[in-house]
Amino acid sequence: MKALVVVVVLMLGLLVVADRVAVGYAEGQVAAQIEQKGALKGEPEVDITGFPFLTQALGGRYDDVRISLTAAELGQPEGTRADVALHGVQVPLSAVLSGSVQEVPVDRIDGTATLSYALLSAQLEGDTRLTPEGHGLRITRTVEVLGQKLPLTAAGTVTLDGNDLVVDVHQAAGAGVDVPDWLLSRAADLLDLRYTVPTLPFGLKLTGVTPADDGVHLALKATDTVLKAAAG
Amino acid sequence: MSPTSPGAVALRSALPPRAHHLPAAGLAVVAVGLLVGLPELLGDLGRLAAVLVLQLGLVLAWVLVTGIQGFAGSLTVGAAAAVAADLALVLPKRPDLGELLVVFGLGFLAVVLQQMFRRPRAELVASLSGAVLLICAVGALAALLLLGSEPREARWVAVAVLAAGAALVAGHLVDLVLPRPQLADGVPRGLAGLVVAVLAGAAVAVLGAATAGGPLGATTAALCGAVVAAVAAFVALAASYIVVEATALPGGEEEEEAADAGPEFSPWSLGVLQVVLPLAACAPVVLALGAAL
Repeated sequence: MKALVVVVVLMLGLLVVADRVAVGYAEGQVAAQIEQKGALKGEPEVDITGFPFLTQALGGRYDDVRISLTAAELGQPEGTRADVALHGVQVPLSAVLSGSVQEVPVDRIDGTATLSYALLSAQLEGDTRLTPEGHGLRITRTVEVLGQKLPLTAAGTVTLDGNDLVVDVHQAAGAGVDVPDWLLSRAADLLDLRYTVPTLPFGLKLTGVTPADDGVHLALKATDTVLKAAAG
Repeated sequence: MSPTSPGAVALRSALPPRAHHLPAAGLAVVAVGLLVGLPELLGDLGRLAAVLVLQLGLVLAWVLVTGIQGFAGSLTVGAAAAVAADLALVLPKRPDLGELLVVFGLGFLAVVLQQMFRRPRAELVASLSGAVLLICAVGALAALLLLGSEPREARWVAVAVLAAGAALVAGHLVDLVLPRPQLADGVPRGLAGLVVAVLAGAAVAVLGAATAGGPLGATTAALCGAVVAAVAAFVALAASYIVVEATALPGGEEEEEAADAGPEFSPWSLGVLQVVLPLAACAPVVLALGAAL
């Protein structure tokens, strides 16, 4: 009986070790697959949470898989990143072992994409420059009014309108130059911006936007979606 | 092959070899019949009933045979753990084997409390160990409830349980006739029985897979059957050690001299332990192989 207890305790210990080794291996494999299929410039950080991992693998269903992509991995300007949590990821173990995973149903995806101000500025027309300010942001841009080019700056708020980021400005002023008030009132509307976020994959929808120090945070969500490798 | 160290007194069981092997072989047939037959007849309810019957049988046999102190309390905790494990894997919409960790945790707590509060507290550590092992065993057996919702899984469970049953029956029958080379002094189990058990499990798995149809090829079936049979055979060997220990004659007394004393336990309660414990150990293995196939 004592020997049996020792064997069972040893086996439980080995199972715990095997569980942690297996989760590390699986995270590495998932990261490599995402890098390859997504044509990324580096392996993202993958964290398969929950304990034990092996029981999730046997059931073919993972409660919470977190993926973090940095600017370098995405090949985007510094400050851009994406953090995604996939809940209820369904991948049968048999499909993993046979290498036949074609699509991955997921119950829900929650995520945050951080668009750096450098990235947003580059996407907007002209010499537009965005910087954080308080709970909003500041936009600086050269506009043309009555045939004259005027460098203007204004504080604004950013909101979401469908798939568009909308920047509404208030209190425009000349950026380093004195601009008459009557000209400012005409030019202020030209600082309003609308940036259409490209269509997101996997049924992801934008649910919110928050300006922060490192960029604009976009909240993403999708339910009952299926992840598939991009065609071709 | 004698692992007993010089000077050590080998255990002598009061149980004759026939009583050690035949009831176990017969009960193995009954247990396999329950696990394969009831789901066929009653579906998921039949599977639950079969697993619960075996779990409760194991609880009773284990508490009787291992001599855990605090009989009623141990029975209650063991039965409660069995029911809780089954419910944890049956009630959720998407059951997960990880739910059993909660059952194990609460079960361990209940065992500690039950053992600490009983009076007198003789053989505390041994009883605690025995009760924890019991909870592990009944929880492991519940793993069979996770398979069977799909026809492919149900076929695999039937094939695997038949392979485990074949290994148990073949092992006991061979060891009844030829327990050689003996694996330990006093324990009527031999290497031949172990090897035949594994081969029988593999053969039955191949036959079962061919009969049941489905995508399971002969080679895969043989390998998986051999793995399940090996687990069953090794744990059956461990169960035989427990039975010999439980029925040991005091002070190395010769069997003939103690014939009047007779076995302390019914061979059937010993048989239940010898059959259900290996099946419990096989259940997570069957689940793992089923998920991988």
